[in-house]
Amino acid sequence: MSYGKKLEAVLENPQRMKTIKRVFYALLALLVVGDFFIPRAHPHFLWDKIPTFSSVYGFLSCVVIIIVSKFIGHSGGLMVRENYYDEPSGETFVETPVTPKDPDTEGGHSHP
Amino acid sequence: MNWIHPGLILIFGAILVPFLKGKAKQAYLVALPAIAFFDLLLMTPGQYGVFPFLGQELVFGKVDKMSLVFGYVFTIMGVIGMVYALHVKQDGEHIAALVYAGSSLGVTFAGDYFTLFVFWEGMAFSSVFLIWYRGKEAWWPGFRYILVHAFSGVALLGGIVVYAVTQKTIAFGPNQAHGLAFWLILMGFLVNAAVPPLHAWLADAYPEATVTGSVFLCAFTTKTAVYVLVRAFSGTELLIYMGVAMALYGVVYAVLENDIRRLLAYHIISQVGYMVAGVGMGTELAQNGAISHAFSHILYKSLLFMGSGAVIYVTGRQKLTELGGLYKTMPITMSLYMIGGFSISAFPLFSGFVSKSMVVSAAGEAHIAWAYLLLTLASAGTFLHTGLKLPWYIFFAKDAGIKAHEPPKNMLVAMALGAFLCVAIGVVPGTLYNLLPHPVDYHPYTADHVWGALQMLLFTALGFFLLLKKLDPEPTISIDTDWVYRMGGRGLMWAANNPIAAWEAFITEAYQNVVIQPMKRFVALCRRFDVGVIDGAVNGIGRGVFGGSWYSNLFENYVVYGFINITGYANHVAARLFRRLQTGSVHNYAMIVIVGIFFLVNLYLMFREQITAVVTALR
Repeated sequence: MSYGKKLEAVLENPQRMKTIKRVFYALLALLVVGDFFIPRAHPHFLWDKIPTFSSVYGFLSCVVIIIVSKFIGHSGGLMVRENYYDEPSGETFVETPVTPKDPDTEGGHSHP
Repeated sequence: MNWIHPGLILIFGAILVPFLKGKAKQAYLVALPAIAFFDLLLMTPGQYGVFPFLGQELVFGKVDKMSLVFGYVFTIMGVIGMVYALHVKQDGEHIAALVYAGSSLGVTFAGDYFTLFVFWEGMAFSSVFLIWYRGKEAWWPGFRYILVHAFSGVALLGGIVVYAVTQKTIAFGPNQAHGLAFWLILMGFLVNAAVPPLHAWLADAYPEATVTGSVFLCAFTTKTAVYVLVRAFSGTELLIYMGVAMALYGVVYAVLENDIRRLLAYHIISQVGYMVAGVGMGTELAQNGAISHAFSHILYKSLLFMGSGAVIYVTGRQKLTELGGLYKTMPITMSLYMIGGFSISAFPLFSGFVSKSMVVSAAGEAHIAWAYLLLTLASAGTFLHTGLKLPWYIFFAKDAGIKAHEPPKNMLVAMALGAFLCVAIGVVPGTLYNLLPHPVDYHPYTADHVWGALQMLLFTALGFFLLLKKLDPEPTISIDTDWVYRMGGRGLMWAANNPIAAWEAFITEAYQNVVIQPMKRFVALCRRFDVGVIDGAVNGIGRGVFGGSWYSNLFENYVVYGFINITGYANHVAARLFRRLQTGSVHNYAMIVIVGIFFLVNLYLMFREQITAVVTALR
């Protein structure tokens, strides 16, 4: 069985997916609990010593980034339709020639 | 042993590309950057290729640890990029890539500002072809790209000239200048480092380049800029603020982006932000961090661009909204891409973990709490987009039903090379650390660092899956600062068509009435004087001298008439000439005004003393 098919067999199987999810949650729990026992080598700041700080900060970062960015994108008007920059038809630049009245046709000098 | 410039190996080597065919050409393309790499291995620190120039010295080869480490990664990248591009048929694209990589090496080893500037321009003008080879739709993005880089080049050159005049040297090193020279050179560098608001060219142009071209583009321009910043502006505090702002800026835009390579482009900006911030902090740890992060960034970012490029190459689609489910048909591409994704996200055992954390730790050691927190927050964003969002919507999510397959073998081999190096650096960081300019006393694999990083990353993943619905890509584009020159140009056209055209018409009309009509009236008056008064008088005299001699007739006919006609004719010609001056074209008037001002200023400068004397006398 090819690599792709093997992957497909795992990911398209709801039973297997459930197991993967459980392992993921177990990992999260392990990380949180373990953080109480991990010695701090070089704490730079106060919060570096607080257990589970990284978990909370990671989760909050993710949420804040998504919500703030989408808010700026939608309410700040940054996200626009895909053809936003296309030249609207009829507004293309047409050079309008300026024609000064020709003074040469009148008032010239007649030579004998 | 003679010193051979590694950049010139690539640049002059490129000349032979069109004369080779088939396998020989492919071997040659990969061999060139490989030879340059071995050339670097043989180098010993020192100054090479020194030429006297206008009382100064041009230094083509300033070899020290800092230029060597960038040289290594640029040549390695050259090999990877060339392997990835082996299937490309256009010689021009290969030549552009080689000259571009060679120019980057030229900048890296430049020991003076003039040499640096020449290669700086070489980079801009060769790289733009990697965009233009994409075809018609890449014309305008490429054009905007080259305009912005021309701006950067002019700023840099202006700064260099002022620097040379005020500092009496063109040697490239820590920038000691103040005022104009400092700011102009810094601005030239910041454009290439894509620091907002001067960054829009990157996200505008890179996604429009050819599939293979963007792999080269993402490696060289911003990283040479980081290199010159480390050399010249280390410890410039402003750069800390700019770098942190950049890191966040890229993250915000990456949330909004739908084009896969544009999303990655915004993450270049974000990642280069770490390096710029490191340059700003300027400590040994921060410098090492900036340089090592540039090193690993080149490798993992090119891997990401290669992965997404493979998807574009195979499917012809580049929008997240049109992709999905590709892991079934492109599993190898997906896996190699994910190694890049883990590296940029700084997973333990991948390259980003050992380099990015150096910069963040430098912020910690310098006790800049806000930078430390914001850079950590931005790294959550990096994993969120490059490691989760992008692969999720390309390879998983809803199957878009695309009939895909793995890309050509050379692409996979290039990706595998990059992936191998990403993991190697992550597992054995000592090798990279030994290359850094300052001795490294930094240990990334401490228990709390690994544990903290894993918490950050996996809880970011939790947030991603909980908020997945909110992240669904939308078929939009995002307005960035390139709006100013894209829409500004349109505004200029509108202005040219409306107020300026109206003004021009007004000027034309005014000249008609104020100058031309009176001139014509004057000419007509002259004619009347000629015919009525002078002719009359002459005729009268002629008639008075009854039977006057034939000579007087001759005199009248030729001399007097001639004189009169010449006067009238000269008048006529003058009128014609003056009329030509009054073209009514605004730029002509502007030029005349400028020339006039220039003339007056010169006049003033020449006779300044006399004028001052007169003015003081009048007082």
